[in-house]
Amino acid sequence: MYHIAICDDEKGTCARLEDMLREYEKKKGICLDISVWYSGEYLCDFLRQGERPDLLFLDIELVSTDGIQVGRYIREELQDIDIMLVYISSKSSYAMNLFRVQPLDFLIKPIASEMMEELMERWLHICERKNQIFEYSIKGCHFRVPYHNILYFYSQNKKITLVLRDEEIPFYGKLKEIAAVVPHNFIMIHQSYLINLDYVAECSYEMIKMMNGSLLNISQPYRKRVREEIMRNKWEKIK
Amino acid sequence: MIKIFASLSTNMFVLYQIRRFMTLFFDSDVDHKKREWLIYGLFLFLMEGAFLWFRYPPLITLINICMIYVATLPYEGGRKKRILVTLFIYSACMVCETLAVYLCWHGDASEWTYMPEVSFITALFICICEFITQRFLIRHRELYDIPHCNVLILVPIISIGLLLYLAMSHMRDRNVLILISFCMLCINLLIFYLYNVLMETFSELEEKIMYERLAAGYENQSKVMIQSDEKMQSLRHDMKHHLGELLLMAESSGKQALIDYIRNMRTYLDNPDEYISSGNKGVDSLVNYMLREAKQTLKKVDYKISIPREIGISSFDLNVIIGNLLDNAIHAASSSRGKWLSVALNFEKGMLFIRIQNSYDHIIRKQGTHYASTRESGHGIGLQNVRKAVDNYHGSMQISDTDHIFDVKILLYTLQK
Repeated sequence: MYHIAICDDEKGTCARLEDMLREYEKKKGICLDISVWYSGEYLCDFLRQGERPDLLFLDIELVSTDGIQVGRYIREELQDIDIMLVYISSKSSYAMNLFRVQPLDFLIKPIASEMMEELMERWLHICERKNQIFEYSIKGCHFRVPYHNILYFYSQNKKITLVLRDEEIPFYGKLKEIAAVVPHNFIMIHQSYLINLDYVAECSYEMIKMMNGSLLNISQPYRKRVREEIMRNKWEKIK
Repeated sequence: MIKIFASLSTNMFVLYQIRRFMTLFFDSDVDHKKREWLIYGLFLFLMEGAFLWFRYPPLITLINICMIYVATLPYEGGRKKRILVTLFIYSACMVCETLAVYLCWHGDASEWTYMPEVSFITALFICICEFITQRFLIRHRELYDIPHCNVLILVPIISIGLLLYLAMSHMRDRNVLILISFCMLCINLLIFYLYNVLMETFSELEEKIMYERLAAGYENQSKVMIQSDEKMQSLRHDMKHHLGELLLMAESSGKQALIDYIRNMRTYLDNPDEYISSGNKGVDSLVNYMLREAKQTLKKVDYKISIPREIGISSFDLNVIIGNLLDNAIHAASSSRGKWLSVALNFEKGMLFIRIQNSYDHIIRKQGTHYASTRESGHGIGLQNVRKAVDNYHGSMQISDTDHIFDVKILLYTLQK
């Protein structure tokens, strides 16, 4: 079951979105729990109680607390990088701030059902990928961690450190062997760094900034390959 | 032994000069350094072999031409350009050698004895030629496959043929021979100059087309904005009347009439020529202009644009990239049966992703894995400019064609280190 939240002050838009989602739910045979919010403040209160929707449709032009503020609240104050944000707006002009909260997409009102379907396909694809599990062992004990908790791996000598959102776990292994089995959103950017592209905040040709703030260098021999991998990941999602 | 050493050292020097010549025509950024070394090693070996074992001018000419062509292979460029550059370089070298031979020669030409001073003077002449060419003649070091290649190519071919004929004939008038070779040298240097001028003219032409598109885009955009503004003003002017009408409808007639009336008002406000308004003026004007053109000729035009108002990419470069690609895509799609175009621009994690797809029916000109032009009739300068602009942002462009769909994907990094 996926939890989807819709936040828009126009009740009509909320209803239409909900209808489209229900239709998609029926068509795909999945189960969606949809909650609707008409103001940014109420949504923030709801999130403050620890509720975390998987996907949030957020209007940019909300009264008082607007979409940009809500997005920032989620990413900066709640430190949540898991909720997928989709901005909806009647305008197609966007401020740079909107892109900083890493939205999955932008939808323009009136929302076309093909657009919505394409978006949901992409989102489901990401969700399925997230549920895969990484296994490792420390001193003979096996451990499992879902890939969507992993920001990146780094190796030093023969030790690999698993960097999760709130902790780092060292274990023995070979990074190249791990790189061969991870999902395709994990890419090598350096001989000792294997990163999760989903948690990249910003990327230049030489550097990558992860969502937890770490700055990682893309080493010279990996730069072209990283670029190709980014493109492959980008358009495999859109497909 | 001394002779071998002398020829080896001069040949090495000549090869060095040939390599320098190459960098005048090609982008010197070679990916396969090892391969390059191997080629020049083989070249040197063959030159020495030819010098030691068979001294038959046409054969030596053939070996040299083939090897210079092989030496162009590590660089990026089309086949035509490689042939042209090969002949340019070879004819220049050959003219230098012939001139050196006639300057030093006193006896019988048919004897073909080795004179070390000839090699030294040849090397010196080639060096001077390279310097003059590099300094004064070629300023335009582009990747272009140049236009009118076939005509240009005739000059070095004729020079090589004439020099071969002179070498094989038994002409004895040294002064005439020196004069002929000197004139040939001048002609060959002038052809370098001509090449450069041709290159510049074509680049300027391409630039002009781009500026025209830019201007047309801005003109279209200002029209679109004026139209939108006028509509807004007239709606505001009639607002009182519309509100009265709506109120009346709400009170008396049914819901449907109300819906229809509001729909009409909204349609009136929609500007059919405004496809996108991302707030990024450069992109808006260009894309609106190009899409308007596309809608006139194509059956299906899809577009999805989500970019911030300001992106770290100059509107000039964006214009080169999007303008050229859309131009080609619309052109190809309009002559295809599918008549379909799709444009997607989106910004994510500091990167700009561009994808343009279109239907096509014509045969695409390819050189290996390299697309010469995305048009069926085009010189390919547009596409090469796109590549250059993409390179400015450490970006990458992938082109593919499957099932009559041409697909161009581009990634540009908007953040500097």
